[in-house]
Parts: sequence; structure tokens; C-alpha cells
Amino acid sequence: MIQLIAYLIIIVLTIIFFLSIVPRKTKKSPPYTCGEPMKFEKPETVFYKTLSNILGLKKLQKLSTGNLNDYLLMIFICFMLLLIILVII
Amino acid sequence: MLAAYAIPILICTAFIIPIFKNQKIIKTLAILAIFISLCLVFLSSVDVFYSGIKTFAVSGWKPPFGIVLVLDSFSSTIASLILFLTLMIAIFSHKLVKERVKEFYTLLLLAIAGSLGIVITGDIFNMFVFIEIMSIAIYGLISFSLKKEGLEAAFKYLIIGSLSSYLMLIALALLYSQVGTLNIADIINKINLNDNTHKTILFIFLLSFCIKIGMFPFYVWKPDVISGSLEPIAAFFVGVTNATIIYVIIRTLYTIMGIYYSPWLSILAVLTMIIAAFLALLQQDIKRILAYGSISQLGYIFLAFSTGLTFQGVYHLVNNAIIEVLLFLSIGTMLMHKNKIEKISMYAFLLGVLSLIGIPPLSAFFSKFFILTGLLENGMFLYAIVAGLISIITLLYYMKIYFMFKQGEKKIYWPIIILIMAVLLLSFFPVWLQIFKSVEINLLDRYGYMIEVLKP
Repeated sequence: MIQLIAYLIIIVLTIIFFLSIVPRKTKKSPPYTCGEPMKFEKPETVFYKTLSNILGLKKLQKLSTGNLNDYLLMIFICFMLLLIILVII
Repeated sequence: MLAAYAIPILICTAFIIPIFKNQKIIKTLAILAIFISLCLVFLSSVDVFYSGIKTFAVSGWKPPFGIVLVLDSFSSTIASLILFLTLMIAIFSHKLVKERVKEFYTLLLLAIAGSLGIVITGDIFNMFVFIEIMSIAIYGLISFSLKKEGLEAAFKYLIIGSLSSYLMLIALALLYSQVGTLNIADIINKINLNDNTHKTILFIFLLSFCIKIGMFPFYVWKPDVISGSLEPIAAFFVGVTNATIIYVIIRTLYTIMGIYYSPWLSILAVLTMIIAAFLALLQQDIKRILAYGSISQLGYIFLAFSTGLTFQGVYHLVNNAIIEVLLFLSIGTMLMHKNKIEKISMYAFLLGVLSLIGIPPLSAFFSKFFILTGLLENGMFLYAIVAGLISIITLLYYMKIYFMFKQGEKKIYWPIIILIMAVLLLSFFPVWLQIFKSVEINLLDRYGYMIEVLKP
């Protein structure tokens, strides 16, 4: 139980720390980095667009912002969460 | 053990190459060094398959005190695979790389020396050192084009890779403080898996590799890195580096921890498979589609290993590595044909795609078939259904690439022809099945590994 509380404190502190240093709403990275901006619709991509709309894939793709700060934050938080889950199980 | 001499050969050649000025000599020396290493590893592998695990105590210091190199059937299979793929990449790059040839081949040789070291070492700290050698060489290779995309990709991989190495080093330090040894066989002897501290340390170690390989939820950086690299380097990254890191994860999970069924890894594998496959559908850039495709295939491999389907996992790992390299080298011909794909390479790409989708009688059909039947036999119906459905999604995104191609002129690229032959050879499954089954027997016998390495 003490370990669990300690882990939770570490996570909360980490999130606060990262939120305080990561500049929010930074300028969008160039298109190649990610985001894959849909410049124009080719006839063969209509099918994929429909599929993407049905499955709501655009939201998933937004995770790949191309911004290294976001990647590091995401990886670190996921790492901590997974580690806690694995140790508790 | 002949394979032990392959690492010094590769490293010495890497440092001799910069002395020469003639590009042809540099390229020939590099290719020759990789070829000799492949022959040495292959000969050792044949010996291992006939007479069991082979060990080599570096400088005569016996384990667990000295560094020991260990070649069992799993490590020899992966070592032969990565050297074969690197040889194909080196030959392919022969025509593509015309500037900074010294730098390219030096880095490639260092990267493969690192990969080979990771696979054949029996010491976990030595493994960390080789991982750093491999990673630093790859950072250089990714930025090789010196274009904006390449430099950004290299910087991203440098930061993420350093985070992973940092976690790995923390895990190693903690492990040494707990068990007092870093020799894999001795760790098996001394570790107590009922102890939560030991378990946590090993999970940190495993997760650091999950970051390095780009599994869900750590995958976000990987497509950026692959799309920023030149095609042969992307092929190395996806084929050789992935196979090496999968080796480390499975070695830790099976040999050190003795865990053959791990539900958490199965869940991560299935999520990796689903999310990467769907994201591949959204991409417009060929390399990004291939990058997400390679992440999705990682899901299949880890699903097999985490559900106890060992030989199926090894079979799909070998298939996947060869096909991914074939796909990247095929699109690599576009660099030499004014953005048009060379004719034979286009068919090679189609062959690779059909195999990955699971069209009989191609090689990946058998590996996927064995995985699906294994899942059904174990009562994991949901996983089997998901794996089957993702194969259909795989067809959708790979076909999308195929329709993007513009056909160029015909020219023979031998590495692509050899890789096509490798895919076709792997399709004759009964021959390979025996090899992969012996790898399974070897992987499941962790105490046999321990006794063989620690024997006086």
C-alpha cells in the first residue's frame, strides 16, 4: 500500500513537472513530421476516408503530433502507468 | 566458437575503412567483412543445431566472473538472420550511396557489430554496451542524408533511445545491487521471481525495450523516424534492429524470468496490432504506411510469444524481418529511377505484401496460420478473431501503396532477387519447421541454458 501511494505521488509530481515545462500550443511542426495533412482527396482515398470517419481514426492520429515534447510526456506517463499495473498484478 | 570472431572482424573493418580513399575498395571491404561474419556465424549455427549450446569465455575468464559469449539455437538463428539481411542492405546500398561512403559503411558495420554482440553475449551489462554501440551508429545512419527530415528523425530517435537506455541502465544497476551478478545464467540461478523488487526491476528492463522497439503505447515516435530515413537505413531499422530487440525481450521474458504466458504482453500486442493497422490506413506517405505496417506486424510476433506459441513466434519473426527488408529495398529503387519503382522490385513488393497478408502458399501464410490455430487451440478465440481481421486491414493499406506506384524501367538488383528467393524458400515450411521447433525446445529450457553456461 505504501509503495502504491509512493508511485502515485511520483506520477502526480511528474505530470505537474512536465506540464510546467512543456510549452503548450507550440507552432505546428512541418507536415512530414506527422499529422499527415490531407492535401487533396484522390479518388482511391475516398474509401479510406469513409472507413476513417466510421472508426474515428483521426482522433488516434492526433496523438502523433510530431512534437518531441508530447512524445516524451506520453511515453513517460505510459511507462509509469504500465509499471504500476504490472507490479500490482 | 567461430561466431565469436565475427564481432572483432566487423569492428576492425569499420575502423580500417576510413584509411582508404577508393570507394570501390571501401564498399568491397565492408561487404566482404559482413559476408565472412555471416559464414562464421552460419558454421557455428550448424554446430549448435547438431551438438547444443556453445560458449566462449572472453580472455579465458570463466563465467560468472568474466564476459561469456553464448550461442544457442535461438541466438544463432537471429544472428544468421540479421547478418544475412545486413549483407543484402550493404549490397543494395552499393549503387545508392555515392557520397560519404566511408561514413556510411563504417556506421553500418558498427551497427551490425552491435546487433550481433547483443544477440551472442551471455552477459547483460555487455548487452547494454552493445545496445549503445548499435544505437549510436543508427543515430548517425538515420541522419546520413543530412536533409531536414533525416536530422529531425535522428534527433528524435536519439532522445527517445537515450530515455530507453537510461531506464535500462537503472534496471541493470538495481539488478546488480539485488543479485550481485550480471551474467544471464547466474541471474537465472540467483533471481527470486516471488520477490516484488526483483520483478519490478525486470519489468523496468522489459519496458525500456518496449520503448526502444516502439510497441503500443510507445509507438508514436517510430513512423517519424522511419519516414525521415533513407530506404536502406529504414530497412535496417525495421528488419535488423527490430529482430535484435525482440530477441532481447524474449530472452529476458523466457530465459531470465521463465514467463511463457504473459497476459499483459498479449494485450499490448493486440493493441499494437489494431492501432498501427488502422493508423496505416490514414497515411498518405509510402514510408509512413510501411512504418505503421511494421509496427502492426510486431503485434503478431509478440502475441505469439506471449501466448506460449514459441516456434510460431520465431517463424513469423524470421518471415517478417525478411519481408520488411524486401518491401523497403523495393521502394528504395525509386531513389534511383526518378521516383518510379523498378519493374522487378514492384513484383517483389507485391510478393512481400501477399505473403504478409497470408496468401497460401507463401511463407507468412504458414506462420500466421500456425499462430491462429495455436490461439484457437489455447481457447483464445478473441485474439484469433482480431489477428484474422487485422490481416484484412493489412491488405487494404499495402494495396494502397501498390496503387501509388509508377512503374519505371527494368534493372536487376541482386539483393531483391535473393530476398525473393528467401521468401520462396521459407514457404517450403516442413524444412524450416524442424529448425524453429528446435529453437522452441531450446528457449523453453532455461535451466539447461544455465547449466551449460556455468559448467566448469
